[in-house]
Amino acid sequence: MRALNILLMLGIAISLISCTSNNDTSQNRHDANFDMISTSNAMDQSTANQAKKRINRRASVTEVHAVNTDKKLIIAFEIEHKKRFQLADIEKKVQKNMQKAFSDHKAEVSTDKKLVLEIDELEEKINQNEISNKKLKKEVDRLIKLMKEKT
Amino acid sequence: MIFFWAFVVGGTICVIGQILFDVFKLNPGVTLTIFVIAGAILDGLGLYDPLIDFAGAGASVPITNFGNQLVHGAMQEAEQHGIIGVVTGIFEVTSAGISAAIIFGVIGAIIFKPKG
Amino acid sequence: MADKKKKNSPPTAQRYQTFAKQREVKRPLLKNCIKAFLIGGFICFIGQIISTIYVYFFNFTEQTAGSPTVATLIFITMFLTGFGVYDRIGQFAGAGSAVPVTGFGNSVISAAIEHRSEGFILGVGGNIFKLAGPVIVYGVFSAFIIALIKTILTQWGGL
Repeated sequence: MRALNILLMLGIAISLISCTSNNDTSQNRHDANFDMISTSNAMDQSTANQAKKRINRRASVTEVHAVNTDKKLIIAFEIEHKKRFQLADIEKKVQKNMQKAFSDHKAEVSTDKKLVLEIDELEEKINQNEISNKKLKKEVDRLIKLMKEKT
Repeated sequence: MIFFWAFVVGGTICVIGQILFDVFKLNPGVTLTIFVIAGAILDGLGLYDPLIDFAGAGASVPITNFGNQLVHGAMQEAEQHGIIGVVTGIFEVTSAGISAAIIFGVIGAIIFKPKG
Repeated sequence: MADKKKKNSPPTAQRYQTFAKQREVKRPLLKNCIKAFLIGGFICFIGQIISTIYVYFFNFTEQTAGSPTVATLIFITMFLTGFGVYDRIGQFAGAGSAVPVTGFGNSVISAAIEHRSEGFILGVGGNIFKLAGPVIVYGVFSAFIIALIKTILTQWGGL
């Protein structure tokens, strides 16, 4: 019986922690994690910025990151948790929209947490001019490969 | 948030199992077999992937996911090779669970001594 | 089906059956369900932590982190089974520890350990899937049927 009590407490604690952390992110929803990358440097990120603006218009989007090279555009975004049942559909729709809107680029869209993290990191590097054009292309190719992995 | 839903959804699936144990008096082997088949059917209807998107490990750790992955592997291979792929692709995605169980089973048998 | 059996059995057996039914210990359903919910949920919670670690610190996506997560859970199960802890959890949690993939791991690993005395080839090798066999057999067969139907529908039905 004591073990049951401990477990109950644990369950409650877990749910409390999970809920509080969620509230934090939902409060600063629309200005959070949406930084424009400077367009002045050698690697023009204006396409990525436009894509971010477009995706951010969707009400359910909580976080979006994007990076482009001259031929490719990679985007990763997150949505509200309760909408995640439709995640695959939303991803497909956004992919289609993006390909249409930026037809001069090959657009790749992902909602995977790993891609969100990686593209965020890449944005940071571009912003601080820590990455060369050649390396950026390699990095983007690597991330596209990561998106396609299935097992 | 995903941690919370992993707990709730995973727990709920286990409660369904407990009801099958207690109310329908099924033994664990039959219950787990039903669960795997249920997972395969749910994936056939396209309902299991949304659940994984929503609940993460809450849907991918219960044994139902085994059935889901079996269908996934078969479908993946079927897209490339047609009907033959259905036969050859079944273990494509699932291999991790079974190979881990075999490997750690044999290692366990080497390390540990049977009780009693 | 139970009724049919009852009718065919002699009257004394019938009386015994009703008597046994009265005396049968009622399994505390609600309490068992709460236990199953908490333990099962907790195992999935641990799984979520492991998979998050794989996504954040290793080169796995949410998509690909599933396999190493399952392998890690079964690895942990090996020790819990070997030291006899998993059996004790199982007595407490019922379906809570049987339904997650750790329960599958436990049934394979415990069968392997148990039959070790009969030798490694025929003992361990022959009996390792003794408990988990039905799950694999009918999982594979039902997956085959479902994938077959789905493939036929998509390829010839034009769905």
